[in-house]
Amino acid sequence: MKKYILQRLVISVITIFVLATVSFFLLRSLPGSPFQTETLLSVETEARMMAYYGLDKPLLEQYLTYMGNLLHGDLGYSLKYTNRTVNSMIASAFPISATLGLISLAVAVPIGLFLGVVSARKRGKTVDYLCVFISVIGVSIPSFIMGSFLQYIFAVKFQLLPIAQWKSLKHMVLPTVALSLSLLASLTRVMRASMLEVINQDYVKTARAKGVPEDKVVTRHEIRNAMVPIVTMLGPMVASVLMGTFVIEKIFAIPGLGQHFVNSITGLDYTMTLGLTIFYGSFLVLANFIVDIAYGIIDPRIRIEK
Amino acid sequence: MKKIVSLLMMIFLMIGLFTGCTASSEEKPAATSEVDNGASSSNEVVDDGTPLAALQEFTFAAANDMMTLDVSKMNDEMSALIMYAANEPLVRYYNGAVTMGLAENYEVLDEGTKLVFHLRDVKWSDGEPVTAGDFEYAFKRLLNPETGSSQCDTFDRIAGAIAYYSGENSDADSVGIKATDDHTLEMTLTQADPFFIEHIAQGINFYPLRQDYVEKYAEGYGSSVESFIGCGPFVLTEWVQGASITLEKNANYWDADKIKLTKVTELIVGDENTRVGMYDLGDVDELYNISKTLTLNYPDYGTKSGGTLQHLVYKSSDDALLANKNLRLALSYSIDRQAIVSALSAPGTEVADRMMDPTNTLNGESIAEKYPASTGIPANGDIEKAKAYLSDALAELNLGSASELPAINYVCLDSASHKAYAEALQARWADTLGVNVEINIMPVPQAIGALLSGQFDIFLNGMGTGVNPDELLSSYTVDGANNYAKWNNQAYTDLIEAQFNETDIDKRLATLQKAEQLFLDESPATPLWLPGTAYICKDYVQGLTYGRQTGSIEFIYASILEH
Amino acid sequence: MNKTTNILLPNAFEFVEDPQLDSDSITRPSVTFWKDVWRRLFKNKVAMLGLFIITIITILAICVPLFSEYTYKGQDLVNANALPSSTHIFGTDNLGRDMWVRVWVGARVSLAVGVFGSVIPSLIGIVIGGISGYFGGKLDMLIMRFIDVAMCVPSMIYIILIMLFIGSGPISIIIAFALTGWMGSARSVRGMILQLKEMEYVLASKALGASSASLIFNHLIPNTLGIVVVSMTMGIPSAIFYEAYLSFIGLGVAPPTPSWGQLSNAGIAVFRVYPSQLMIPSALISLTMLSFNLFGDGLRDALDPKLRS
Repeated sequence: MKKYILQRLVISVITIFVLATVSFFLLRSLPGSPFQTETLLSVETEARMMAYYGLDKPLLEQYLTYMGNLLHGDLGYSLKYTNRTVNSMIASAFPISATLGLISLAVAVPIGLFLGVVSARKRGKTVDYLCVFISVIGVSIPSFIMGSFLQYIFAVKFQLLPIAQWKSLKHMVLPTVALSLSLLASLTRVMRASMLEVINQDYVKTARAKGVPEDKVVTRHEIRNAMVPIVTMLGPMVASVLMGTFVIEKIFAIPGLGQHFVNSITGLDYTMTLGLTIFYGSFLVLANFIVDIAYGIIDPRIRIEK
Repeated sequence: MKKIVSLLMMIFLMIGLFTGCTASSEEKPAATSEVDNGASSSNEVVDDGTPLAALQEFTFAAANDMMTLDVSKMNDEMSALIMYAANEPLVRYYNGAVTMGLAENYEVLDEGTKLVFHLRDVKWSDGEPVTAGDFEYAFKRLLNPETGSSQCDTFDRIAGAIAYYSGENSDADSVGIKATDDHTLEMTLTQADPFFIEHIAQGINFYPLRQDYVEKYAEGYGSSVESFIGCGPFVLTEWVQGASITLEKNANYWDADKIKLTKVTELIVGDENTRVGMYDLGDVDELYNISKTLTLNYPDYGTKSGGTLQHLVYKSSDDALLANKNLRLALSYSIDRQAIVSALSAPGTEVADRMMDPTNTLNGESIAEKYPASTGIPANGDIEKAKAYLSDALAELNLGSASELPAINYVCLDSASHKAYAEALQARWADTLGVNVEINIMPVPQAIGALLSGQFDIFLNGMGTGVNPDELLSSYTVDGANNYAKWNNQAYTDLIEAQFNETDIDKRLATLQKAEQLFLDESPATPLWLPGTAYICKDYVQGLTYGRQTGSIEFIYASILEH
Repeated sequence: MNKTTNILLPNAFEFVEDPQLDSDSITRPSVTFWKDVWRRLFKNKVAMLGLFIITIITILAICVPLFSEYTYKGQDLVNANALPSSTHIFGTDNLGRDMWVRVWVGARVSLAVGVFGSVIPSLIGIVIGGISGYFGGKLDMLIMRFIDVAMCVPSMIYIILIMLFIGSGPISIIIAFALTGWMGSARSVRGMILQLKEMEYVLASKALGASSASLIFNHLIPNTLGIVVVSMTMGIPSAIFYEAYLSFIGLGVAPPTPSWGQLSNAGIAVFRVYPSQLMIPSALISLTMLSFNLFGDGLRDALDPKLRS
C-alpha cells in the first residue's frame, strides 16, 4: 500500500504537468486577443500590450518560461486584473468558495444519502415519490432560477434573510440551500439506485437470516456496499464545489473563485485560466486519488494496486 | 391512486407558490423614486426645504468590480468611477461640462499648441503636497513602454508622445509634458486642438501619481487599498475584491466644504434580479443600467444617452460578399431602426442617422448643431429605396433574385442584447428583401478576432464616440489599421486627413461633414442608434448626476435628504 | 397425552395429485419476460402517468408547430412581450414571436438534445469505464489519469475549437456533449466494475472460459446499468441547459431556433415583470423530468428480476 501511494503521488505530479502543458497549448491555439474588449482597442495598442506581456515571443519560449515559473509556484500576473497576481487572486477568493462548498456538502451529503436510503427502502411509497419530487426539482430547476426564487421568497417577500453578499452566517443560508439542493438531488437518486441493487443481494438476505439486527444490516451491509458509486461521484463533486459555483456566486454576490473560472476563459486571460486549471487539477487529482483509496476501505475485495 | 393525487397536489402547490409570489411582484407598488435628472441638477444642497439627513451615506450597486487603481494602466469604466472620487484630475468633467479640478486655471499659448496649468495648493490624503511633478511623473510613466499601459494613444496630441511610447525615442524629456515648478504644468501639443481640454477632462488617466508609492509597491501598485494613495474628495478605505468598495470623505480635500456625503459604498452584485431586490429592500440607493423590461416596474426611472454609437460594419473590400455598394445600401435602408429601438433597446436609446454623437461637445455646445446636417436614413427605413438598391445590386451581380445570394455571415457577440438585435435584423432583411443572413454568435475575443481579420460580412460595432468629432469616421481610411470594413476609398481618406490637419474648427467640421456624407452614401457601415442607459434612484438622494461615458455616476456632490 | 390419537390410519391419508406433475410448474401464470414487464408496468399507475405526460408533450411538440397559424420565427415587434391570451396562448417574447409555437419547437430541440446529450456521453463512458475497470493495472492508471486531465481542461476551449473547425450545428453540439460529458460516467462505471469483478459469478464465468469482452459486456456492464441509467436521466436537464449555454456562446442551435434552455435563460432576465416567460419553459422542463423519472423508476422496477413478487 505504501508503495502504491508513493507511486500515485509521483504519477499525480506528472498528471498535473501534462495538464498544464495540454491546457497551455490548447488555450493558446484559440483565436482572439486577451486585450480586446467590446470597446475595441486599436491594433497598434494591442500589439504593444502583447509585447509587454511577452505574448509576441515564440510559443515554445513562452511555455518554458511559464513552466519555469510554475515550478516556483508562480502563476504570473493576470492579464485583465492589472497588477494582481493569479496567486493572490486565488488566495483571496478560494477560502470563500471553499467555505460555501464545504458547508453545502456538509448539508447535502448526509441529507442526500439519507433520502436515498429511505427512498430505496420505502420503494413505491409516498415517501419515495416525495424524494423523487425533491430530487427532480433539484436537478431540473437550475441554480440560477432556484437562487432567484429563494431570494424572492425569503429575502424580498418575507424578509427573513439577507438577499445577497457574504458577510455573516445569516448571509450564508440562502446560497447554501440553493447549492445543496442541486447537490443532494443527484446524490439522492444515485444512492436510491445503488441501494436497490444491494437490497436484494444474497449476503444481505444471509445477514438478516443470521439474525443481525436490522439497523446493522442497513448500515454495515446495505449502505456500505452501495457506497462505491457515491464515492466515485463525490470525488469530482467535492473538487468542483470547492472551486466555487459561478451561478450561485453571481446571484448571491459572493466574491468567490467561480466567477473567475468563467470570466477568465471567456476573456482569454491566459495566465488566470491556466492558473485556475492547474489549481483545480491538483484538487481533482487528489480527490480521485482519495476515491481510489476509499474503494479498498469500503470493499476490501477491491484491490486497486495491481 | 392516492399516491398520484398527493403527487399532483404537491406539484400544484409548488407551482402555485412559485407563480403566486412572482405574480405579486406586479401588484407591489413600484418604489416611488423621484429620480434626479442629471441634466437639470447641479450641486445645490437643498432645493425644496427638506433638511439633510444626519447620516450622509450613499450606497449603490454595480455589476462588475474595478480592475485596478493604477491610473497609468486603468482602462475600464468601473475603475474610472472610483478614481473620479478617490483622486483629483487636472480638470473634471462634471454634469456635462468641464470644471476645474486640481488646476486652478489654465492658459492656452502659442496659437493653441501650448497649455499651461496652474495648480492649487492641494494635499494628498496623507498630508503631503501635490506637485506638478506628480502629474509629469504620472503621464510619463503611462507613456513609458516599460509600464505596459493600453492608454498611450490618449496622449497622441502631445508632442513627442507617439515616438516615446512606440519605442522610437527612449528619451522621456522629449515628451511635451513639463513641470516648470511645483505649481505649473506645461503641455506642448503637436498642433492646436480645441477638443484637447475636453479630452483631458473626460479622459480617465489624467490624475497625479505618487512616485514613492509606485516605487514602493512596484508591480503591485494600485492592487489594494494600502498600495494606493489619492487626493480626491473621498479616501478609499476598503476594497473587498469582487464584493464591495468603501469610500470615506477626505478631510484634506481642497474643496471639502462642497462634499456632503461622509461615506459611499459600492456593492458589486453581478445579477440584475439581485440588484433590483436589494434596491427594493433599501440595501442600495441607486441602480444604474437597468434593463428595459424592469423599467416597467419603476416608472420614475431616469435615462441618459451618448458616449457610444452602435453601427453595423459591412465588410466592403473588393473580394467581399458586400463589396457591392447597392447591396449594402439595400441592407441599410431596409432597417426599421425606430421599431427595433422601441421594442428592444434600453430607454434613452436614440435612433442615429449619422456617424456623430450629439453629446460630443465643445465649450459646452453640442458640435452636432454646429456641424451641417448630413442626409441619412429615415428612422423607419425606406423599403422602396431598399428594394430599388437591391434590384440594382442584383443586376450588377447578374443574379435573378436575392435568394441566389450566398448566406451573409453576421458575426454577433455573445450578449443577450446583441443577439436580440441580430435576430430582429435577420428577420427584417428576410421579410423585406428576401436576403438570407446567418447569425454566427461568438465569445467577445473570438468575435473581435473575426472582425479584425475580416472573417465576417456584418458586425455590430458599439465603439465609444470619444471626444473628437472624427473618432469613429477616422478609422475607415485606406490602409487604416482599424478600418474594420476593409473599405478602400481614397477620396474619403483625403477628406479625413484634411480635417485632421485643419485647425479652424468651422472649416474642420465642414470637411468632416463632407466625409460623413460620402461615408453614408457608400455605406461601408451604417449608423443604427445611440444606446441609452436607464437608472433608478431613491428620492432622498439629491444632486446625483451622470457623465457621458458609460458607467459614470457622479456622486461626489450628492447628498442625502431626511427620509 | 392420549397416545391413540397419534396412530396413523390409512384412511387418514388422501391423494392429492401426482406430485411429479406439479413439482416443475410455477405457481404464477406462465408469461414471457417482456409480457411480464409490461404487465407490471401497466399496473404501476405512477409510471403510467409519467408515460402519459411524455406522450402528450411529444405529440404537442410534433403537432403544434405544424398546425399553428404562427411560426417560431415570425416577428411582430409591436406586440412584443404580450401576456398569455386567446390569440397567443403563452403570450409573445421580446421580439413579438408566439411563445406557444416557440415552446413546442423548443421542445423538439430540447428533448433531442436532452436525450442524446446525456445518452451518447454515457455510452462512451460505459465502454471506456468498463474496459478500464475490468483490466485494471497500468491500463486503468493510464485511462484514469487521462480522465483527470480531460476533466480539468476548461470545456470552453474544446467548444471554441469545435466551433472553429466544424462550425455550429447539430453535429457540433453532439461532439461537444460527447467530449465534455463522458468522464463522469466512465469513472462511475469503472468504480462499480472494480467491485463487481470480484464477485463469485464473475469468477464462475471466468472458470467456464468466458472471454474478457463477454465478461465486460454481458456480465459486468449490465449490472451497472441501474445506476448509469439514473445518472443518465439526471443528466437530461443539465444537457438541456448546457445546450442553452452553448447556444449563447454560439455553438448551439443557431438563432432564431428556440430551445427550452434558451427560453428559460431569456425568461430569468424578465421574470419580475413577465413571470410567464420563465414559468412556462421551466415548468415544462421540470414536468418532463418528473415524468421521465417516474416512468424510469417504474420501468426499472418492472425490469428488475430480483424484485419479482
